[in-house]
Amino acid sequence: MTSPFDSIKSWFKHPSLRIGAIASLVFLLIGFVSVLWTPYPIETVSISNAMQDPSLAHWLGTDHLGRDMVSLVMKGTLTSFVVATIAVAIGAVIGIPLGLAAASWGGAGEWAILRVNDFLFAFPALIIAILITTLFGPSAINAMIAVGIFNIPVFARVARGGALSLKTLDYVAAARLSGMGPIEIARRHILPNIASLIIVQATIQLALGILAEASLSYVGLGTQPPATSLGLMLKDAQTYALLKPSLALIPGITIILIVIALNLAGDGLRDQLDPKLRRLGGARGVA
Amino acid sequence: MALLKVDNLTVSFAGTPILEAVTFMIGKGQRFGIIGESGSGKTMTALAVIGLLPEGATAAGTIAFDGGPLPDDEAARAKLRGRRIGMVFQEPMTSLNPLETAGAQVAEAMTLAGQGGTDVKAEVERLFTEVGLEAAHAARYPHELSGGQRQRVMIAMALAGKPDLLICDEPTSALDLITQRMVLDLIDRICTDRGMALMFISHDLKAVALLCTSIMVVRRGKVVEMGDKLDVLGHPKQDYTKLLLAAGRQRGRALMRAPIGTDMLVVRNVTRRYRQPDVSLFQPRPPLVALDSVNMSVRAGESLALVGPSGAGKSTLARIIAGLDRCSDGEVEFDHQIYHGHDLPKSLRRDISLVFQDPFGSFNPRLTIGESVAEPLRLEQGTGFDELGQRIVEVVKAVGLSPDMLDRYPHEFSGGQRQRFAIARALITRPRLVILDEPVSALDVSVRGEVLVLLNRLRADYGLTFLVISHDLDMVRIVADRVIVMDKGRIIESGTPATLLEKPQEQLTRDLIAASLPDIGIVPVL
Amino acid sequence: MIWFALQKLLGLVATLLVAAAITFIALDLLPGDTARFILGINATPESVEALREQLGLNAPALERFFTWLRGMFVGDFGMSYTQREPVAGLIAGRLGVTLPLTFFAMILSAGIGLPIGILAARKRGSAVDTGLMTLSQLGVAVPNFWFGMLLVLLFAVTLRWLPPGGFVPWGDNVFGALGSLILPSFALALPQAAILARVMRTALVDVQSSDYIRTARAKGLTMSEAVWRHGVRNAMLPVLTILGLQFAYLVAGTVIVENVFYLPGLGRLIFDAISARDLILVRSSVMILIVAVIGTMFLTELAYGWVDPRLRARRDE
Repeated sequence: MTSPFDSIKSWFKHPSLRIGAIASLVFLLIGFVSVLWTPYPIETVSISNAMQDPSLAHWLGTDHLGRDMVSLVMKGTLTSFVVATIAVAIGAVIGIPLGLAAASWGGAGEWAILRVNDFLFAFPALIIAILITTLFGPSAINAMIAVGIFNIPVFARVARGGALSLKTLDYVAAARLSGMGPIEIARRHILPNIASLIIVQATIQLALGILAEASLSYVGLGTQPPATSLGLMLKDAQTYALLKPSLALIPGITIILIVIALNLAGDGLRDQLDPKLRRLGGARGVA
Repeated sequence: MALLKVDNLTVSFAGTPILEAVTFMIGKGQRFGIIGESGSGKTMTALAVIGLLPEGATAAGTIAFDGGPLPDDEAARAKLRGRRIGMVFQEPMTSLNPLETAGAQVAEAMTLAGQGGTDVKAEVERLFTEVGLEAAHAARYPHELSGGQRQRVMIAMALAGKPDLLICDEPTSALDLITQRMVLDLIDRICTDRGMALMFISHDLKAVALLCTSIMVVRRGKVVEMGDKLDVLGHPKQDYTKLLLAAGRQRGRALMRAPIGTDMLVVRNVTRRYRQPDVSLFQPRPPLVALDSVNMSVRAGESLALVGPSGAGKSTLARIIAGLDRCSDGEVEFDHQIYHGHDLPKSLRRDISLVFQDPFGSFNPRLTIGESVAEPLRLEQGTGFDELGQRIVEVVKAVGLSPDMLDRYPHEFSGGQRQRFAIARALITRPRLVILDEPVSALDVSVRGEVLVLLNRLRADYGLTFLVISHDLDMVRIVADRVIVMDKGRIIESGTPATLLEKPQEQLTRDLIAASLPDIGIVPVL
Repeated sequence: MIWFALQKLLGLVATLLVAAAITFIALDLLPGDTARFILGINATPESVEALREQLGLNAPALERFFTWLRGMFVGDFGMSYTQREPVAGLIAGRLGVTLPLTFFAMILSAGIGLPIGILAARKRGSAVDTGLMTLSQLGVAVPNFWFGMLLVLLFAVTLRWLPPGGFVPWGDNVFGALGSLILPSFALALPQAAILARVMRTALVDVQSSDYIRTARAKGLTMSEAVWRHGVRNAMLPVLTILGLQFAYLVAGTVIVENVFYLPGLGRLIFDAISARDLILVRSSVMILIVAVIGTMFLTELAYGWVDPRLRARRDE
């Protein structure tokens, strides 16, 4: 009596997936912990302590304002994750129904959605962020919205692609014979079978979101002080990098590690699902 | 001296053996057939001989071609391929480079093998004509050709190097009946004309019997029986061979059935058009007419078969009747209620059901088989919980399966079992009309017979009315009372199976009958 | 092919119009009173009114939209309020930095990424392949501007081989100008090259296991010959798609990397304009970025259609 989900346990044998998933979770945990506790509060500025080297009191040293680097990295990680996650949520919540609708309607409706999609693809998150910032001023919410809007066509495309390859399968037709409406069919038959595609894409978009948040904050369009994010730390580091390279190295390396972890997890997921992706939702591969 | 000698060939893939100790010989000009069902390893045999085993496959044993062993070196093997050994693969669509014209690909095969001389283009055109294509086809891209045409291009490519041995791996399974016969006749003719040896691989016993003089039967990677055609087919020694032969004959008797009553379903002037994208603003395209004013009826208790070549409109008509598609004109009447397809009233939906062709695609892999089979019960509002449970059990038993299988998932069952579940799902609402779309063509030959017997029994026991779609006239003979022949969206002939087969009126019907391969046991005099 | 190109051109124009409309709505209508927005809350009603007249803001919205469009067509982008110079001139000057930078980065990323991908595919499963792909994992994760900072620290500060920032104008010294663009180009090119390498490798690996390569080998070609003659063109299809998409990222990246190297490019112009609330400048600069991005997508689609005959054919469903 095996269910397709029993194989989740066997998934963790895959090395990429294991390393990636664990590392990502570790960083996530660090971020969460920072909500309740950091070694030092990041709002306190103490110029006399500025630019210190790593020591027992400050494991990664202090920045140009005397703030503890470890605390900054923890809070920064949290912000980066929050922004990236909300952006993925926006993209998925809007994009997936759009993609499913496009696949199920066909004709003029699908054409319209595809055109909107192409259009959204052409707007890098940066341009949207510029527009929003000009109107409303910079903030982390800007970054969330800008990256979120950018994620919409990605999820729409994945959802549509998956739905299209399932649409021709007989069990979808059988569901229609049983009198099920399109929404019910989407919920019961299509979504569960494209869930794997979407999860893999979500991991990728999460990684991209972290990079995007960093870029936007770096140029001042995203997170604003006194909050901190990994990108914002780099913005500050820009001025002082020559004096103290660690100000730039530490947040940069953190970003790299998080992104690699997420990408590894995504790749691992994709490899595990690949033989099943070929038979997406039960379609017969070449026997 | 043997042209090809295979000794103790064992092929493993990721540790699992696919072929075990396979040994056989093909002489010059000899026609050798390999018969096996899916998973028997027959394709691997062909790939091993031509040296194209997929990555990850390891081979042991010896293969000797024309006296010398198959070289290990990739470059040396490449020289053998095309020049001495040609191969025709199973899937013509993906086997051709989509970005190059057909002619260019055949020309390359020619020049690689050193043939064609100074005027390759003319030689290519000559070759095209030999395989039954037109010279104009050379300039087309693969996606612009039909399945049968693509397969002919593949054959032309294999022949271009004038090989001594031609390997064909299920060359006709992706084609419709009439084209199948034409391609088989073509292979027959060119082998005779050129004196080529042939290694013909198929699951279709009749095709192998038609073309080959020696036969080898494989099952799960092992050789079951091998020998001269007359010996193997006339006096099979092994049980498996006997099973295949018996299934191939499909001599089921139509069982006693319920008396035939009045019209249950009437189709009036049903037309289905599809809009085609225009070539340009100034060159509008006329719509594609899939069904053209079709008129027919099905009487209660009868079993009506729809036959015809692919593209005839049979599936389109079935889908409209089942309520999955919409007709552009005309109407359908069932039980005195009129509808046009999509607007099939919900109250009628449980009276009409559909069994799909492909057992692998008909079930959602994430739901248990019980959940899928029970899905149509949504249409039975107001029936008590207990009764619903009873129905599921009843219907599963009726198809010969056990209710404790219901908690399992589709991938745990074989194709034949899944098809039985599909039938169960179709019967669960106690329908009056059951539409069956090619119900057995996706199943292994050895299983088809049982399913057909089951269908006949269910029809008799429950007084069902069948509408069967098929291209297989043998199957139709067993299952149907009346046959309608369709072509290009129109009904061209109808009658009982017996009258149609003895006195076909239309050319197409004659073609369909001719395309059917001769029964085994009636061996044509060579 | 001509018909295909015309269709895509129509799509291009339509998309540009919509993009322009959105930009216009965002920057011209949404702020409400544009003049007041520019001058700030403390402005006097008279100065606001004067600015309105000066900028022609009293005309109806649709008319202003078309005036703006028409203006862009002939090269008149209006006057920057804060810098008191024609916007066109300002943008043109900056483009002299941004365009070459984008161009070099594109060439570098393709020149480094594609060969790596091909090599990794050819030596699939070997140590070379694993090593290259691990490097590419790293490359994809590196923020381009951070990498730029590293490059500055290494090559400019420690080794003193190249300038740490600033731009020598083309007019003054061509080699100086090129020199200022070397480090930024590499910073931009690295993550792009990593992505291209991965995509190229995947595409080639897929091609290697495809049926038509098997057929080509059955004709008598060795695996490498078959991949070279038949596979590469097929593999280019997904690579082309990615190249086109990546250009959008590249444009955004250029704008950001300019910050690291203190290059007077389009990016600086936009960010300064945003802080100064110079809507007219922002508007036109954004349009330029959009045109660059959409234009490249158009070219990519054309190239795709040229390579793949299936797209040029009419679909028969």
